[in-house]
Amino acid sequence: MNDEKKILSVRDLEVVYTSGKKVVQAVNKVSFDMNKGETLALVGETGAGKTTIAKSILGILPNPPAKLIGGEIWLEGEELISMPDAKKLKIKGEKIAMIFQDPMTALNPLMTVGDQITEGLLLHNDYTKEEAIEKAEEMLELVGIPKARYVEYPFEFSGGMKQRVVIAMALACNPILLLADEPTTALDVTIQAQVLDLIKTLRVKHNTSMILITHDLGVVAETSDNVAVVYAGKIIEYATKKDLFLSPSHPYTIGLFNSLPSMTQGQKRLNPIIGSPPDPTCLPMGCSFAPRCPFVTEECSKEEIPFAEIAEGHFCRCCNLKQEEKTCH
Amino acid sequence: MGRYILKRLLWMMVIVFGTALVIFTILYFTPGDPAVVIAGGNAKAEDVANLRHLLGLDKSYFGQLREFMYNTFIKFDLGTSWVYDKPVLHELVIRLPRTLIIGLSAMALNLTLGLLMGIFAATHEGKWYDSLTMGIAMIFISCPDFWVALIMILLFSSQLGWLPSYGIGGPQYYIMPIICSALGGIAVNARQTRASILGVFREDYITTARAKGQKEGRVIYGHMLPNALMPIITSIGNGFARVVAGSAVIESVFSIPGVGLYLLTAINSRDYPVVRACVLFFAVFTALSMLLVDLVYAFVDPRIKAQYSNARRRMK
Repeated sequence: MNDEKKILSVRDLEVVYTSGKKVVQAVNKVSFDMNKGETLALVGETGAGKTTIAKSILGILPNPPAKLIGGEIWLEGEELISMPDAKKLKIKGEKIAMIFQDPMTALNPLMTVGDQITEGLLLHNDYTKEEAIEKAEEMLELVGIPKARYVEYPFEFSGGMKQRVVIAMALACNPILLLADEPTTALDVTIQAQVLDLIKTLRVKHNTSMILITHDLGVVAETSDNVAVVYAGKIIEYATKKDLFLSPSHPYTIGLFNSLPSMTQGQKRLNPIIGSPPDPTCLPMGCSFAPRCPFVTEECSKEEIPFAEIAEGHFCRCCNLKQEEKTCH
Repeated sequence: MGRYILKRLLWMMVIVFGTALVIFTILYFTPGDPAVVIAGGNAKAEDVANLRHLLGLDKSYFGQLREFMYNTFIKFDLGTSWVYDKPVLHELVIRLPRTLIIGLSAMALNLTLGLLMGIFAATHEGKWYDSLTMGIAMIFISCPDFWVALIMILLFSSQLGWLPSYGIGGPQYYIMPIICSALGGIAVNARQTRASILGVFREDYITTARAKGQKEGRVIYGHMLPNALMPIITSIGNGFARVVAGSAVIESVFSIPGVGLYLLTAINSRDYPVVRACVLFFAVFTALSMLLVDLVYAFVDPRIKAQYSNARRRMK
């Protein structure tokens, strides 16, 4: 891989949550790379560890209960985890920015939306107060909010409008990496499309890379270049969007696609993946999907399954790909 | 906003009127004859009867009530003390500053210390100094102020001779009363602050502020504290109301001629005009502090402000 183009590289990231004596293994040795301008989608069920991965990159894990116990995160040749806090403050918000899941709660209810955008601008630029306000007004206009509303408070905005403010806030300092944590989950479908378009337009301008966290395969198809499927804190499949949609390989990914209702066949019931994700306080040996997998063999629970390249740029963490193909296709 | 304040002031008049009615009635039906108490145990029956007539105590309930209400709300005359024969209003004006000095300084003290202790404890949640701070607050809450006052008098006046134990005079006379009245408030404010800061600690907008790269100090004082302030303001408001209404205990321990002691003495000597005037004054003061609290709410929280103002105006 060309290192010039590589902007983010995550190696063996491990995060646990502790509550009392219980230890929740939220992220287990996750590794991936990203190129400049690329969009990587992290797909998976609720609780799979997607948001935790994003928060680890930005360094805003709530500690306690979360604890980063291992791994490296390289951003443009700098290692973030071992970086002193003071230096890291410069990176947060300036180089990496995050769009949060729930616009209803992501804004401080007692501050005007304008001031909340200005706050970040003043932290990372040598603007005077007036310049920052002007820039913030510009950002508001850019996301389609009249700048006269600078002085209004979050409670005076609708959900979609609030999400626009959150986006304006995240993109105000032209970050090189944008972490979008289910940016459209809390919004209704018509607004979803608008917000996704908005993010897309603003990103293209500055060639911003993005990690998009979602469980909506439609959103993935719309926006991303590469997809990583996360299950129980591990990446179990990684491929380009095209490869993943055309030939999903891991039984879990296949299950995900099967569970989508078909538009053409007169389907009466959905096809869910039977069972529920494993208890993250005691993950099973070997493949954590094994208890729910229709293709399970004895081999699955013996040892850690390697992340094997099954086609060029297509990785999958499954030891039974051969058998599976026989029964599946 | 103006309309809201006006409405509240009108309501306050109703409250004060009701308080006057209730306190008059309670005193009227209190067993025992003020004339007997004031005239003294050895007074002749004739003198007592004269005194009863002089004080208007021989009139019917409604006759006395009418006179009291007329004097208080139409003539704005709070009456004259039966025991000392001095105008009550005059006496209140002289005594009020002493009560306010103690009460307000105690409040300033318990606000600063309480908030700082609360913030300190909340930001170090679960560590040993959190437990230590809250332990100290627990001790403060558990010790009654009159007991602390007595212990302090024993230590600093009797044993060490540093501070005068009673009366008023220079600033040194106020030190112990202020500290004693502040202790309980410090504890309440510290615990309240800690609880409400922990309440907003995990809010999403705090994460947002951190994600911007904001320094931890600014996150606490700029984002957490304003949002945590609401319950704290309520507890401050209660404290403010207690500045006057709760002054009786400390003033009687330290023999400070303030409003609280005035009321206490008046109750013991059946000096009804003084009791009624003091209670009315407390009612007005409490109602005003509650109004102040609500206005501070509106000042801190734009959502509440929006509820108050009928016509929305955009300021810029």
